[in-house]
Amino acid sequence: MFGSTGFGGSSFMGSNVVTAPTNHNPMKDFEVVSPPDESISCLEFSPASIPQNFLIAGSWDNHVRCWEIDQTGKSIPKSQETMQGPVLDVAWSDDGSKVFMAGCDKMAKCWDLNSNQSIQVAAHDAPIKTCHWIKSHNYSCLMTGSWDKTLKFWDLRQQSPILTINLPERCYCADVEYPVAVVSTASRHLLVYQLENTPSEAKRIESPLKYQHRCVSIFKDKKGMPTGFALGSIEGRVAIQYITPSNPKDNFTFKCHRSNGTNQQYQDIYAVNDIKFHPVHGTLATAGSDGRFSFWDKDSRTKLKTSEQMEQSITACCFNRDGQIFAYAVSYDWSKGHEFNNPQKKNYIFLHSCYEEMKPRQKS
Amino acid sequence: MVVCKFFLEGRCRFGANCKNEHTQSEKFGRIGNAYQQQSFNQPVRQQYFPQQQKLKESQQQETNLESLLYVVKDDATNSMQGGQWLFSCYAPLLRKFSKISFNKNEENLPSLIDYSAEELKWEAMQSSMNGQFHDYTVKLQKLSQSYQTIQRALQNLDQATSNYIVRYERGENVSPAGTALGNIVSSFPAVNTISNSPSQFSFTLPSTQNPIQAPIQQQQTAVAPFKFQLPLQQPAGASFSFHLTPQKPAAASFSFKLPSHQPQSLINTAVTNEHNATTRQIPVSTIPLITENISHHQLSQIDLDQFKADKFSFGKIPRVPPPIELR
Repeated sequence: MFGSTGFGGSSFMGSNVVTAPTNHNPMKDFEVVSPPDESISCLEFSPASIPQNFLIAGSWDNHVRCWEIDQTGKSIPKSQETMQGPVLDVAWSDDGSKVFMAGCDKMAKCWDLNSNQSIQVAAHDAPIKTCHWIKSHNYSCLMTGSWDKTLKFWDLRQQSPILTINLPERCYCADVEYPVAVVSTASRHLLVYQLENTPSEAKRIESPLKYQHRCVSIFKDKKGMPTGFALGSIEGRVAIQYITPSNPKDNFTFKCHRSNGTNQQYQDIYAVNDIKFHPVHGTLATAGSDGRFSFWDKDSRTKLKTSEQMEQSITACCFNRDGQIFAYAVSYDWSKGHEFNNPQKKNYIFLHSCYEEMKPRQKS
Repeated sequence: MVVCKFFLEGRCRFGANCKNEHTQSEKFGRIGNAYQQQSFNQPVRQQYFPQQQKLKESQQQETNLESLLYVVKDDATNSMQGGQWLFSCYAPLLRKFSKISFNKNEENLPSLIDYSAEELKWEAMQSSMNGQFHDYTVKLQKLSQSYQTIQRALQNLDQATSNYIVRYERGENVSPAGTALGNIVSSFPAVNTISNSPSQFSFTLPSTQNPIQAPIQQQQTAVAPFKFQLPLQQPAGASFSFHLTPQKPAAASFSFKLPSHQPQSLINTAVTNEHNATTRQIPVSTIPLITENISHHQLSQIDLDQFKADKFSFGKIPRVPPPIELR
């Protein structure tokens, strides 16, 4: 059983390991062909600016893979790029012609899909954890957040960043919805930036969560303006936080990805590995270390659905541009350390048809 | 049946004996301060934030922080019993119940440093590549024990630790020495050190003569990652057996298209290391994106001024490459 087994101590092989579900695809979703051999760190669908659906996955095997997903759910491998270290984040340019990738080799690269060429566009002193493309009226740039405690903004043709912002701690997660960017670092720091004209810090928010932050995703109001964000932690909890709440009670937290272990009194606590908002409905999806994903409606504060349990944790997820497809990656997230790493275990990326399921509930 | 409003707020005293209806809806995040999720069978005592009703009583005088310390105990117990990620900071978030308007102390308790799963995995991979995986496991074991010691102390909360936390949340300048929080957790070296290599890299705009160089890297990086092999029935601390696996070739039914020509290699041969002997190197093309040359007559005045200036001003960066004359 997971639970009180910590690091070190005796070996955990054999019958001690919890019996995982024997079905590798319990949701009967479409399986993406030729998934990576190592853990998948990030998944992104192509933006609305191109008609097709392309899926990009970055992995700890140093590769970034691209598939085309057709109407029938079939995946066609298109191409792949290689970094010099594990890939930690990927991003698309707004016009869908380029893919950015960043990772442990402390670089970010820009991959032009049409010419299949790539160039280095960024560098940090430590692995780059996040990369996001910013498109503004008067500038466009790549924002990279790194474990070197800096946030850098790159014009793709210059060797130096056009702006460097010092962070209080190592960057753990970030999200951009123009004109707002939210960055969260180690030690629970939460920083909000406004991106008009030139990026600048707008405010620091006191975290409503008690433990390490793991993922963040900005949501928009009915008019399409970014108004708040969902924040996930290692403690199986998500906070919904408005940047300027009209009422402090608008902000709340909820528990997720918990399960009743064999010990009835205490729940097993799993990290929230990824959070994404549905592009049309505004409802959200969480991907858990427990191998499940859940859909939630933050306005009516209800849970819409929880999936069956996968064979391994869900490390990344994303929606396609029109909210028809929910892609999720099943691979080991290192939440139990090296002893539970099993290179023989296959990694999967599944495509789940989600449009109907993610419709918001009416307020009761 | 009348729905029990106390149950919806998470504070019904009667529980199963209540004469009103306790609906098991999947609602979460109460409107109010009792954040309980009813879809799990939780003992009522486990609360993330102390309940609203307790606060009302003590709002006349400053809340007795000592009475709220059970929150710290519960948090520590739940996290240990629940198999939660161990290497996390922790903030009791009790200071809002004290009347202090400004508190200089950081919200996080001292000694507990954040390490993310990705950082530890990267550390493990690097140690493995350097043939130091055993050292890594030893360091990790020590680190793990430090965190567990602190969590157990938070579960048990002796007098010294209790006093410390109360005073800390009151904003007092108090030292954790003598409590479990006073033993500095042995830090994980490589995660905290930042290499001294310059973060600049050099490349030139679309003139195909100059190759793009990779940044100067302190550490060796192999092109293909290592695969760890789990020890089968081996005692703890035994050396892991692992081996380099060359990248599996793509399956026969499809192929990822690699660049058809590989002019210049992105990876400087000077930076490669002995591991590359057994891994397949995939050179990446370095041809830049924009290849047409624009004469300076076609540029707008703003762009022209920008290229002539020493450096670009933010907001006016040209979207086309400079003409040959201005390179």
